[in-house]
Amino acid sequence: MRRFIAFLAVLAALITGSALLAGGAQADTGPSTTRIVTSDRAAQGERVVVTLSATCPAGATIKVDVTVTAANEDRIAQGSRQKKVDCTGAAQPVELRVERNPIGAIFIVGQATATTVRTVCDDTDCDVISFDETIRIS
Amino acid sequence: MRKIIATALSAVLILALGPAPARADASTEIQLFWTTLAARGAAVDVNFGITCPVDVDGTATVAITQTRDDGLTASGTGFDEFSCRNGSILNITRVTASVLGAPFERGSARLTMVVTGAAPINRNVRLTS
Repeated sequence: MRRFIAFLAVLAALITGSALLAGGAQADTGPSTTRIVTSDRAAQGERVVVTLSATCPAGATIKVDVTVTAANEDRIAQGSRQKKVDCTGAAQPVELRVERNPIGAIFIVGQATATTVRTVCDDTDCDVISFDETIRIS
Repeated sequence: MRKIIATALSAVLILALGPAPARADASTEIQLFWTTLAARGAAVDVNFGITCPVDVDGTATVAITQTRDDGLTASGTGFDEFSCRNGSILNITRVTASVLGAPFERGSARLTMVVTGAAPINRNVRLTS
């Protein structure tokens, strides 16, 4: 039984580790990362203002497409926003105002899931990388 | 003689009507581990292993549908790319709830999964916290 529990623990650690590493990736255009730093509820839940930290090679461009999905009682709140910026080679903040889809509920404070699809392009190539993370709307 | 004929007929019927092998030409296998709720039911993390006798780059597409205790439907899809090297990898695909439905909750749900090179999976799973 102990061996089985130890096996499960190792398995969970491996899976968690691989998931955390997924935020950064080495691609043809060079290494790039994104990570959501803050997500603030605004306009009575009509939107969430997301600030993410993006890193990509100087001279390239990065387009981030962020989708925030959250539960609000028995409904779902969801919204997307995209933005394109020039890469500096260092970590840089990118702010996006994510408006809710009117079909769904309004955003409330609490946990949510965010999918960030980044497209990093240089003179010769583009890489598209998707990353999911759990965030907290404040 | 009758017994021999009956046995032969049974064998032919079993071969003709029996289910085809699920992995006739698939070399990759999937082991589903856990399906856990994330972000208050806004998503489900599907934890699975991929066994690949040969190195493979591919995609995993997962769909989950759940009829909640209150009768509302929660559903969503997730998509992931993977590179399987040296025989096996562990993977997580996050299934995000559809804005048209309700959040996922603990309990049984239906999962459909299509992974490059593997036989499709369609089975009941238990969503846990």
